[in-house]
This record gives sequence, structure tokens and C-alpha cells, in this order.
Amino acid sequence: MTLFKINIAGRPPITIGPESPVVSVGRASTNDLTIIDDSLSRQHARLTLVDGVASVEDLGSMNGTQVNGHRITGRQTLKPGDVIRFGNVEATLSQDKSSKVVIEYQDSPDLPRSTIVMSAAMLRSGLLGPAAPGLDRWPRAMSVLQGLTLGLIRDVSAQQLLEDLVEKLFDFLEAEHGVVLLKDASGAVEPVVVHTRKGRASKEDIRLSHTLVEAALDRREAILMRDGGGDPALASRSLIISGVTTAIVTPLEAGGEVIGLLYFDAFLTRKPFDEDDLRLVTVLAHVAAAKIQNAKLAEEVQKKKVLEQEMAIARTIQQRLLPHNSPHEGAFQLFATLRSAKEVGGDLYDYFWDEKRLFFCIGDVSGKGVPAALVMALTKTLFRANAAFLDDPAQMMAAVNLRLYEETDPTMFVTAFCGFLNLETGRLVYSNAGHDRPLILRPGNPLRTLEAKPGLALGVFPKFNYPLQEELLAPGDSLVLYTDGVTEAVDPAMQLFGLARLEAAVDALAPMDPEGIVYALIEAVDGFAKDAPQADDITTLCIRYLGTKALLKSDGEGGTVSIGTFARNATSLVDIFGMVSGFITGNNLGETHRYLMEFVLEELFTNMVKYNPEGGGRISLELAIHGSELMILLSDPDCPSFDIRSDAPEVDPLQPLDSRKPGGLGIHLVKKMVDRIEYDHLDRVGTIRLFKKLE
Amino acid sequence: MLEISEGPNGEMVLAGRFDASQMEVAKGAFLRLTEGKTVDFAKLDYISSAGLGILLAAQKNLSDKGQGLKLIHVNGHIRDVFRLSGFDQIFDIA
Repeated sequence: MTLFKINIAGRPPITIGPESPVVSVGRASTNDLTIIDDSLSRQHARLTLVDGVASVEDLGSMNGTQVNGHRITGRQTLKPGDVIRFGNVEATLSQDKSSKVVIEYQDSPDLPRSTIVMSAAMLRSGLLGPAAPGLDRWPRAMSVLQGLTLGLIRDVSAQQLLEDLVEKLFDFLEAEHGVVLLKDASGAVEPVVVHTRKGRASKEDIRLSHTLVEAALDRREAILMRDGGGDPALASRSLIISGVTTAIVTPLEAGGEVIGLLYFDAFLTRKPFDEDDLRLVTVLAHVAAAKIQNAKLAEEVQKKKVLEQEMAIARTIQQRLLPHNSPHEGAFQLFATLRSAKEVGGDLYDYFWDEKRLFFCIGDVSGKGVPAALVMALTKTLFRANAAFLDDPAQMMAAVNLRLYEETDPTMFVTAFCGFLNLETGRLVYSNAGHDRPLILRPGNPLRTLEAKPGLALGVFPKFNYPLQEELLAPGDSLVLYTDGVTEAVDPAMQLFGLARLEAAVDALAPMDPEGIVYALIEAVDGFAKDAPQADDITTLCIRYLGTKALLKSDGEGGTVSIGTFARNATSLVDIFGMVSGFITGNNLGETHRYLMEFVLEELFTNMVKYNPEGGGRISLELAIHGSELMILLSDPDCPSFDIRSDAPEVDPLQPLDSRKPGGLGIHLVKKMVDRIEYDHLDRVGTIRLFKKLE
Repeated sequence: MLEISEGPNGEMVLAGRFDASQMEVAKGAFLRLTEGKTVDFAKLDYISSAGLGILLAAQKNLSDKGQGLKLIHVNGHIRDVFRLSGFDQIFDIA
């Protein structure tokens, strides 16, 4: 364990070590080392410790950073004794030698003859006979015990307890060195407490004999070495080097496991440790080990609790990043849900709209958990930022892609689909970046997949030409977008939900609104997965295009167009006449055409409502001028075929009053008023187009 | 909206739109008629087959008694509709 200290006159030293490998220095209070001095910049310099090597770098400060009188540029490696000057403030770097412990591997496996080796377990059980401490030392031993009892009961950290234990025993034993080694998660031993006699802090590393360490850790032996220095067959040459002649080593055991050891030694100037010392250290070690174990568990529980709380907050923040307003008024309806497999996830969706267009996107960041969640937040922000000034989804993909490529780890990528829906015309322009292709539901039609070129996932290559495609949505069409958490949901037998099940689940849902479609889909996935844990984030977004009731003009290729969809009841006539009025005004048409359009629409719409009241979906109307012709279109998305050209009864305008009936009169008049009629019926969608030459 | 009022000479005056949404108003006025009536179309902007149906029913009722409706001031578009449907043959249109 390498520790460095930064020492500045008049203030406590700051440690750079494994626990705090980066120390920022500056005038701002956010620094690890805040120095209130005008010669320092707010963010002045940074000290780092990597692989035991300390270094300093200047963060572009006004007055610079010097090492041993030389102003540094870039990163400068440091060694103990270096003088660092931040502006006008001088600091020295020292290495914290006292905590360095070396376990010597070159000693022979034999211990000195004067060594007493006992089983720690037997020592603790008292089978080796009662302790026989000298009368003068026993009360002191009791005071050590008493001093420690509070620490053993009180809720102190494991580290604090060990420090107290070593300090008390250190005094009691009049030791030279006191060390606690603990096994870390990997099983390697790491010194956690190193105590040396004040004023005699050796510049040498404390050296522990590998033989002693092994005896305690592997064989659970408590060892008392009385006089290593005087034994010609001395095992531990390293002990000679440091002049140590008497030592105690005892294992720390808890729950049947050796978790570390306790070590004390002393020079010959003191009388050798005896068996009572060993007994006391061993018994205390046992109690302390249990406490350490408990404290560790408690710390882990606490850490886990804090982490859980933080994750819960993160989840809330992430959910708030997503829009939740589920619009269902106007020209479209939209509903979306995102269900993370973990507390936070890498799926995303977003949408926003104005009077003319709806933007939407869905995406899936590779990986899961916190890293994916961070990239998710970035991706969502990038889409939102770019949508403010771009209206081309392919350009948007390119822009988001470049930023993701530059700002994220090379192993991260994001599949995404985004588009703009023109709310006036139903024209959908979209771009795909390696995402699953959306499904299109059209009432009365078989489910189909939106033709979308695959594109490349975002963040993989800096330059990629994302595909730009378009599709015309008819009023009543629903677009279903999802992430692969849907298709890759598994059941308890690890079977995939798959695209076929997804398609089957939504196929019959065309007449439902987006919320109904989304929930039915999620229900199908959950019903399939049963008790199998959710492996990936599940996100679905559904948009239904309704068209607009009011007049909407667009200068497409065919001329001026007005489109609307209307509920299947007689009260829609008021809205239909409103749409006609707007079309008349917008195209400078006269009263003759108004009369024609109103008459044709009323007659045909009323018939559709009257003869097909149970049909699904709204009836869509379109008024358009194609060249010199006025076109009136009515489309019922769910109806039996009825071609007025052949299926409507003829009405004889010359028949006498007595034989006249009101039925069929409207259709008769419509046929007389227009120049040409077209009709098609496909998969229950009946569409009639009526044409009238404009004079 | 369809407004039905009585003119200075006892005639029935129609104003506005005589379409499918005005059936209740129109039925009330026309199907109660027990004798011939002059109906002024001057302020009527629009009539659909629903309106024509009401007029036809009223005309049938009255013709049983040897009477009928007399339609006056029928303007261009509505006159076209009457002609196309042959209603100009069964109504007295001034």
C-alpha cells in the first residue's frame, strides 16, 4: 500500500492513497484541497496516484505549478521530498512509510527453536491451562479488556475497532510494531493497521516473515517467538534485518474463516513476550474478529441500502426524462411505456409536436444498468436538441450519431428509429439506425411492417449516410414501435416471444386506440413470460394518425388537398360542412361547388353511417383539386362493398307522385351531379372518388 | 340551421339549410299540414335528399286531398336539384 502526503505548513497533511487517488487543488471549495490564496486559480492543479506513482498536473492555472522550482507543463511525476508550489503556496510531498508492510518470502520454512506454536482454537478454549500472569500485569490486562469492551459493543467501524485494539495491545505489550493484516475479497492480505513506536518510526519497511504469516493464516496457529535473534537456526532473516527478536502472531477468525492476523513484535531491549501475552492477544483477536465480521456485514448492508436509495432516485430521474403526457386530441393519439429490467435502463423514447408535425423517436442503448442509462440520457437529449432545428430525420440521425461516437465509449451503441409525421397530410418521413422496424396497423387491412432500411446503429462509425424514407399514413393508421425487449422476452423455458407472436398480438388491434394497443401488447408479453424474470427493458410506443377535422392545405404535387376523419355519426356533418367551407375559401371556389360538395358528402356520409353503423374506425374524407378537376373522396375503413354505380337502385325522375319513394333519391342525385365516379373495395376498406370538372 | 316562419300572406318561409340534421324541425312543420301551402324558398341556401324526402311526404299527404305545395322563389342550385330528381314534375314551382 503506497501512501503519499501533501504537507503544507499550518494545515493537516492531505493523503493521496488508494482511497483517494485523485486530489484536486485550488481556491474553489469544491476541491479536495482548498487553499484560500489569491495566487491560486479556482481549479489549480491535480495530484494523482496510479500504480503507486504520484504525479501532478497543472489545470491551466494563472500562476502555474512548480516542482522543485521548475514550472511544469503537462503531467510531472513526483517523488518523496519534492517541493511543489501552487502559485505562491509551497507544499512538500512525503511518502507514508509507516504503513508499508512487506511479507518476506525468502525465509526458510523453519521457525526458531525458541518459538512456541499453539493452536489458536485451543488457546481460546483454555485447554492449555489457566493463565498465570504476573500479579503486576493482570490488572493492566483487565484494563485493556475493559477499554476494548466498549468498542466491541458500540457501533464503531471495523477499522476504528482494529486501530483501538492495536493501540491498546501495543501499549500493553510495549511492542515495537503492531500490524493487522486482513484478507481482501480476492484472498490477498492487505495491512489495514500499522502501528510503530512513536519517535522511532523506522524508515525501513516492516517485514513480516512469510513463515509466520502462513502459520497464522493457513494453519490457524498462534505463534510466540521469544528470541529469534539469539537462535542460530533463525528462520526469518528478515527479522534480523529489522532487529526484531520477539514476536506474537495470531489469526483473526470469524465464522470458521481466517479473515486476517494480528502481529506484534519488539526489540531485544525488552524482555521477550510470554505465553500470557499470546493468550491475551489470541483471545482478543477472536472477539475482535467476530466484531469485524459483524461490522463488515453492517457496512455492506448500509452500503447496499445507500446504493438502493440512489438507484431509486436515478430511476425516478430517468422516468422523468421521458414524456408522459399521452396526447389524444387533435390529429393524432400517442401512448408509450418503458419498463426497465433493472432499476435504470438503456431504452428511450421521446416525442413532441406542434400544429403541423409530430416528432418521435425510440431507441435502445447496448448493455444495461447505469452505463446504459447514462448513454440513454445523452441520446435522448441529443435527439431533442437536434429536433429543434432539423426536420430531416436522416440528418438528425447523422448528427446524433456523430456526437454519440465522439462522446461515448467505443463499445457503446444505440439502435434508434425516428420520424416526423406531417399532421396535415399524414406524410411520415423517417430514418432507421439499426432498430426493429415498426408495424403499421390499418383498420380492415392485414398487419404490415414499415419498409425501413436497416441503417447502422448510432455511435459506431462517425460518418454514415442514414436512410431517409417516407410513407403516407391514412387517417386511422397506427404505427407500433418497440424495442427488442419485447421480441426477446423469454418464457420460463427460455423460448423467445419473437416477432411472430408480436404480430399476432397486435394484428387484431387496429380499431383500438394507442393506449389499448400498447397495453394489449404488454399483456401478451407478460402472459407469455409468466414468472420468467424480465431480461431487458421493454418499451413500446404507438401513434395513431387521425387526420384533421378542419381545413388543411398543402401544396403537394396533386394540388390543394384537404383531409379529415370523422366519427361515424350524423353530428359529424357540421364538421364536414366546416371542412368544405374552408376548402371553398382556400381555393376561391364558388357557391356551385360548395353546393355540390356539401350535397355529395352529406348524401354519401349519411348513407355510410346509416347502412354501416357498426363499422370500425373513423370515416376519412379528402377534397382535392387535381388539375382542372375537383375530387371528393370518402373512405370507410371497415365496410362491405357497395358500389353506387351498380349497386344503388335506379330512380326514375319521371315517375308519378304516387309511386315515388324517398329512398335512393340522394344517390341518384349524386350520380347526376358529378362527371365521373371511381370505387374500390379492398380488405373491407371501401373508397369512393367523385370527380367534377371545374369550369 | 333551418328556420321556418310565416310570411305576410300566410306562406311558409324557409331560411338556411334543409339537410339531414334539421329533420325534426322540418317534420314538425311539414307533416302537420292539412291543406295546401305556399312555401317561400328565397332564403333557403341548401337542400339535400333528406329535405326532399320531407317535401315528398308532405306532398303525398296533401295530394290525397287533392291539394299540394306551391314552391316560390326557388333559386339556381335548388332548382337544379328539383330538375335532376324530377321534382319539378310533381311540385308546382312558380
